[in-house]
Amino acid sequence: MEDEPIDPDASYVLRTVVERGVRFVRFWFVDVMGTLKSFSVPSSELEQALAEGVSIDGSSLEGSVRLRERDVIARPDPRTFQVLPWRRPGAAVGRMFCDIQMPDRSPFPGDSRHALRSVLARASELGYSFQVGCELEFFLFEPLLDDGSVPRPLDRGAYFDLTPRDEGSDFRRQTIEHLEQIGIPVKASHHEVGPSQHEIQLQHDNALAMADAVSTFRLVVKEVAHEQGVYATFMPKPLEHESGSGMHLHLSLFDGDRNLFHDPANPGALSQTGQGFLAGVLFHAPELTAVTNPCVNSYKRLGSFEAPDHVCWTRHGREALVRVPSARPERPTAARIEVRSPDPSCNPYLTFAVLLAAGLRGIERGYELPPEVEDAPSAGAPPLPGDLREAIDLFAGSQLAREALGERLCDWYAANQRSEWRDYQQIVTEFERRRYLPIL
Amino acid sequence: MSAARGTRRRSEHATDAWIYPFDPTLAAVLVGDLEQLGYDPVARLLDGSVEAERDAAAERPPALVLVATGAVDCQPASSLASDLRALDELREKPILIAIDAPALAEGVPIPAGDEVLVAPWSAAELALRVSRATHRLGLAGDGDIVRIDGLQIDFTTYQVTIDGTPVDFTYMEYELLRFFVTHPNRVFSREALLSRVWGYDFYGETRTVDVHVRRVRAKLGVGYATRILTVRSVGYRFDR
Repeated sequence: MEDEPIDPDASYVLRTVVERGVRFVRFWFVDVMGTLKSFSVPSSELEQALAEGVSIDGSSLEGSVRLRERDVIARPDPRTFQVLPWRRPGAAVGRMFCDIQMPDRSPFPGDSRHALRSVLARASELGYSFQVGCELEFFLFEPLLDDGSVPRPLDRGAYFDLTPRDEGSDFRRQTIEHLEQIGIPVKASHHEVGPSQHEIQLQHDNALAMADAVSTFRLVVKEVAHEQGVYATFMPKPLEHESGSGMHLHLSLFDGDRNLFHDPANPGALSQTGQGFLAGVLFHAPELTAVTNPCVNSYKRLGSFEAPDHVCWTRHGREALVRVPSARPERPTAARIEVRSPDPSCNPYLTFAVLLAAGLRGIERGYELPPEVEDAPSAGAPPLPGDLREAIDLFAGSQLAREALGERLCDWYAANQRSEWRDYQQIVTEFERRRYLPIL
Repeated sequence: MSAARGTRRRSEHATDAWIYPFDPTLAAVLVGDLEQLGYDPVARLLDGSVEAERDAAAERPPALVLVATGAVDCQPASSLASDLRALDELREKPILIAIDAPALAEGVPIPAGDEVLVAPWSAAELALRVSRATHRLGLAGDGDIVRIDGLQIDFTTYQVTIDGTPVDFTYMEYELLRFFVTHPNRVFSREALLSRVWGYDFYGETRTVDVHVRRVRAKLGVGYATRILTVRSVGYRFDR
């Protein structure tokens, strides 16, 4: 394999590694479910790794359903190099996200990052750049007991509460500091509705950078929790009778500097393009729910505490699948739609890819936007899938998902989820024992 | 290994400061003060020849050397400083000399160009002297280091520090910051920044500039983020 000339980004990385005394660089990639995977490359091997990539076993991307081994190449993206801020300088460690390629350097069809890249490339051919802003919710608990018992929140604070009941404000401060050091700008943070539930909003960015940011975010939160002796979780619904954790996405399309969702003639309303995009997202939402809400547990969040379970949109209501914020009609760049179903356990690369594909489909085929709902979804609104099995069946039949993600990823994804559902179905729950043992 | 004796676990940090204190009390104070300034201080004892220091510097050069010999009956700080300065490995490094009042009264020779501290000094004075010593060296070189208060950008090594603590940028973030600090107090449109920082052949949109400015601001933190001003419907300006 012949060497390519080192580009400026790569040589900057090599230089930084020397100057900062970085001894290892972690190469990151995600499997089909969005789980972060990592291996370490010593700095002495970095130049070669940047030029040629590193050979790894491609079955590591298949999730828990590993079929067969195959050699693939992890090629680090030097534009994603960061020194990890939570490491003491004495053991400076860097990280780079990788693109996964076949030995002939074509993209590996099981790589989520590639799937997002290719939908972005198609959008780009149409003159669109896809921007995503992200609100991530999570819970902080006392350190977990390993017996499946109900986790204990750190506080009983509530929505936007201030200290001293909000034990998590130090936590949020430290997390935001790390995020900013690693180049992930934060828009805001606050205590959420649930006990010890928190939200951090990431500034909008292009979709690939945001997907990398979400992957990084989940690790940063876990790291800070570990440092502070607490447990952080992105489980969609960790507590019964409390709010679940969502990942609201703010989506917009730009052409250069022009926000295509903004209608200069009618500021505050969605442009024609925006309406088409929204219609596409709504129409395809049920079949894509397996991606945006991947766990058995995801479906216990949907349908309560304002999390949507029907396909509808609103400007002022609270429970709709999509909200069209109208707070800043005077700012053209702020025009966007907010998709409220996804939860933070999802694979952000695939989630952004399918939502963009759905939006583009809506624009290209001129889907008609259904009427707005004012508050509660109207009776006629189609439901989102009620559980994971229903979601997988819809996903498996989705032509849009197959086109957007490719056969390989779709098959892997469905196989993982079917296996998850089978595992779940074999469990006899406390509910069943309590309900049926006394009477049957 | 060399004759170095760390008073604490040494890190792989590039901001080591070597201290030559012949007085353990003084050493402890200096270590604390230099840590405050973001350095990783290493208290060294010169129990061999200066050659041993050459080997240590060749293996791992310090960012700063502070020679504080204290009492006059030890090897004078000034002569030790000259010996260290004569080593190739330390020629480019800022060296501070700390002496006490009796030594000053005796008129010990001070090598020209080195920053001097006279005991007793405050932490604030030490900070000022360290800043002057590193600044002076930057000016004496070919202008490869720019300092704006606690923000330092080293164009030779591409490294950025704030109050001595390294801040890691990606290549394009670094290039953008470098452009800003070398063209301060002028407004640049996003288009101008795209063509001058990313290059004319860059296929991109001016939103790229906004995204990078946001990331650079995030990394600069509250102390310096506001130096990059958004000039509404025009572009950006860096305030020096």
